[in-house]
Amino acid sequence: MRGGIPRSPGRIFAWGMAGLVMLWLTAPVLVLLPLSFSGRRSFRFPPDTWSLRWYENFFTDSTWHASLLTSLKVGLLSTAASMILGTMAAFALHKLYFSGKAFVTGFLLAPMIFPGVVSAIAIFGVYLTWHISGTLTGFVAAHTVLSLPFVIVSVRSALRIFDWELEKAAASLGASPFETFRLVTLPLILPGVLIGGLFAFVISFDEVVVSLFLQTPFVRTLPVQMYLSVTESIDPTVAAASTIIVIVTVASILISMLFWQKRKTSDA
Amino acid sequence: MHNPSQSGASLEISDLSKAYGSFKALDAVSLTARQGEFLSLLGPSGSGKTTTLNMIAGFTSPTSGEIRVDGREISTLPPYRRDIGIVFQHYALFPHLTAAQNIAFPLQRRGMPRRDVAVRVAEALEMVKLDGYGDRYPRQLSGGQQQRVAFARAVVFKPKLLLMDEPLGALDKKLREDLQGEIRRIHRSLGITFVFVTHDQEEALALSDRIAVFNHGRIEQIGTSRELYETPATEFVARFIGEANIFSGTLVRGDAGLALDTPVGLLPVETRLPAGRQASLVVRPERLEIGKAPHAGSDPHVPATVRDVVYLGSNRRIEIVFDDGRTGIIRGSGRGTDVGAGERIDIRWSIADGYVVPFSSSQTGDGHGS
Repeated sequence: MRGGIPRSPGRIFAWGMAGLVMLWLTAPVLVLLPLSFSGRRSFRFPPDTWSLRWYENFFTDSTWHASLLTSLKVGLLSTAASMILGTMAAFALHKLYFSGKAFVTGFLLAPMIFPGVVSAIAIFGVYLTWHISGTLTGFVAAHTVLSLPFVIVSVRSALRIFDWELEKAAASLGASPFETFRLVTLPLILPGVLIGGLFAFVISFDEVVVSLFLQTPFVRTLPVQMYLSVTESIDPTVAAASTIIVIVTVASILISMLFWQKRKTSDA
Repeated sequence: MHNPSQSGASLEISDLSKAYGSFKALDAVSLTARQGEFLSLLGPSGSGKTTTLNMIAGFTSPTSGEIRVDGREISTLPPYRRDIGIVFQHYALFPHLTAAQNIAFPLQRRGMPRRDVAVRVAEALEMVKLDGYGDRYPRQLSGGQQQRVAFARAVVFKPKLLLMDEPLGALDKKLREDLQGEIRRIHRSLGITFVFVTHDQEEALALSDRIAVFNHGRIEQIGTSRELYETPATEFVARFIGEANIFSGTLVRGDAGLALDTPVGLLPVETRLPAGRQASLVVRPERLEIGKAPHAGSDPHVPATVRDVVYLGSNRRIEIVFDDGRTGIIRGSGRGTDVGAGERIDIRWSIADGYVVPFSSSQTGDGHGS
């Protein structure tokens, strides 16, 4: 909106509503942030004393920072896997005609709408027989399944606006199918792939239900560690951890937005 | 400068067919383009011209038939091994690359050293009069400039055959005419064989050495512009190339020789077709003369009513209606054409200016073609 100064009563109302909604959406963070700087072992809000001890605890207690590291590892690996697999799947769905395509599409997108707890039990059951429950591989595979649909959806929408004549042009100029993909198609659908990847990372980093089933004391993601911490003890480190999660998520979105902005201005 | 006879490839297509289920998009088409020739594939949409182009390019595989370039069968080669330049209707420039990078693309695919690439790109930009525009992205260029870049990109790797798919279709008339001139100039200087697909007969007439007229997946006629205009093989060609007055009927032998028995009268003709055959007589609009009274001599003549007169400066375009309700066109200049709408006239032509084609049932529509 231009100007931004509300004049008419309608505008004042609209801005007021928007403000309320923004407050509603951010309120949890506004509570958590001060809590993480509390000086006491309590969840009293607002805190009466202040300290950095919970952040110190987060980075010295290995159960906490190891879980952050696990989350980052699982997040980055599953993001990479779902970006590659999702792009391939989106291509197949876009380019190929085969019977049962609607079924395959629905199957691939199912994890997006399937109840998380059902997926979790199913994955857990299979993992027990495969003996990969509680392993990094198991986490990465499970998170890849969950984030794959978001990459597929995002890449498909990029492919929908891609001009396929460019692939013909590249071929006529002597580019093999692989060169065409690397030099023409991929650079042009990259925004779709990256947005899908961003979704994938945020989903993995934030995932609790499946991770709760797969966790062991040795391999545990940060959200699971937080859940267990809250159920077992009163430990404001969880507030510090929440703040760190918010920072990582917001940072990854901001970085991608900045990247976008740069791309756009360099293109214009 | 190249030796034109060496830098163009010959193209031979024989019995080329493409069927989609029971629909034949292309039905046993054969044609040849000589080395360095400018051959146009002309026809309405869906006539098979683009299908033919796509099969030469390798984007569509033929159901049957052969495509040879310089005698070598290429139908089994993938498009990226064919070494054929293509200019697309909507340019198909890579939007994430600059003009220079677009033009460098085919050279880099061939592993050319960086320094040579720069030289060739600069030459190509100069050839299409875009020196200084190398750093622009396609969206920073006008439609005409984009098509020039696409053209440069398609010839920079020195293919022996260049295919163009309605390359001027997306541009306005003035720009089209400018680019037509440039395409002719570049064709002459490079000496490569051009295969040019278009539905615009004026464009084909202006550019081509020879034209192949497509209709319903077949070639109706291949010939020079003049052959197609003056001696069309079919009624379709007569209507599609330029404008024509067409009279259909049965050939009969009369006292003064062969004549065509039509709804508007008995018209004397010269033809090698035998009496008894159904045929159509084609008379070009500029061959008609206007008389105020019925013609007394032996030349063919038909009464008609003037429907409209369009003054075009150098000449007039007169729309007429024959007594059977069919329409016709006269083009001419001078006093003879000074007629008004509604006026009864008598049109006549020299018997040698009428050209008889065999009757074809596939013909649709009435009146003049355009």
